[in-house]
Amino acid sequence: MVKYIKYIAIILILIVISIIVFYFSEKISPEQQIENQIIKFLSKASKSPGDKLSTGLLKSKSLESLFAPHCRFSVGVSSFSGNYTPLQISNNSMRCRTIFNRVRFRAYDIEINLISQGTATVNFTASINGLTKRGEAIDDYKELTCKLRSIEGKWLIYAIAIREIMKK
Amino acid sequence: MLKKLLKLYIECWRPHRGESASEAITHFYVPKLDGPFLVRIITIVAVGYVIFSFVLIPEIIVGASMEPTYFRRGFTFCWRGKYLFSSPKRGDIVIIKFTKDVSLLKRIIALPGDNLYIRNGTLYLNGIAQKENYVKKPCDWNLPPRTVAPGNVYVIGDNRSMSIGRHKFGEVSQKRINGAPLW
Repeated sequence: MVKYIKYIAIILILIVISIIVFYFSEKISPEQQIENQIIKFLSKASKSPGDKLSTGLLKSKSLESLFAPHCRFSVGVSSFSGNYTPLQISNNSMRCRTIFNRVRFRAYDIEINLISQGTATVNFTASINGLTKRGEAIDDYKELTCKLRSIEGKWLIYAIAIREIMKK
Repeated sequence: MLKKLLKLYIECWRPHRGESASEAITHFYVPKLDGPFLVRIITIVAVGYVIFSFVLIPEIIVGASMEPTYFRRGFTFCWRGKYLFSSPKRGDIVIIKFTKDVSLLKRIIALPGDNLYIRNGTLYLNGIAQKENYVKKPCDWNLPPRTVAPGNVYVIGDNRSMSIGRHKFGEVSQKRINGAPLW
């Protein structure tokens, strides 16, 4: 029995260590969760050259889960500005995908500010690199501000403002 | 222990002690590939990496928008410490982080709250025509009035001989100011 106690103790210690590691790896900070949401948003809005229609549909549909029931888009004086539901955002994303052969959105210099309990503002620079079906190359950078709210434990985007980096 | 390590480290920088002058010169130009030499190389590479990545960032000037102050294909360093203890002023030349890999070299012409416009190439700041000695080439630009928002600055290049559409300038967040050119 004494012989086995040693092995049981080792197994128990290993189990305890595993639980501790699992607990801490699962516990991501709010900032990390918010950054993940932004990266997820840009990745789902992007289109790879080999993306099939079904992939596009799935990606656009999954965008819905990142937005609050009403999301405000502000794009300067563009007619694109307004309030959108997650379904409308998903449909618009699908429409945009049909314009491009490939398009890639990436975020740089992400700055996260937790304003109050459950509300955050994220400022970052987004790069848009792609090729339209007409053969036009797009290579642009914009400044974005996203506002997120924690709803049922998930950070959801409820406002997006897109600006020029340098406004003449 | 720490004192011993420090002493050992200092010794790495005095490899020629006890050598004759000719031996020291030979070892200076053809160093022995030993432990102290490795320590010196690692130190130099680490210090160089920190300095040229975070303090003095090498910048190659690609465009002509700052001519004649800075010429195309010129070279300078972005001095990151310039605005650590001071705020940008009108007339300062700054390096602005534009994209991940591209920075812009521009001059600040207006600060937050300033109202500016350009009429027939002359800059008006808060209603007063400005004498800009750094603008050497003829300019016929016209820009409607605007007020610089808090937290922003208005930047423009010194070379205004090109068309207004081709010149990258405008209102930009002060957070994007990376520093100033070293020379």
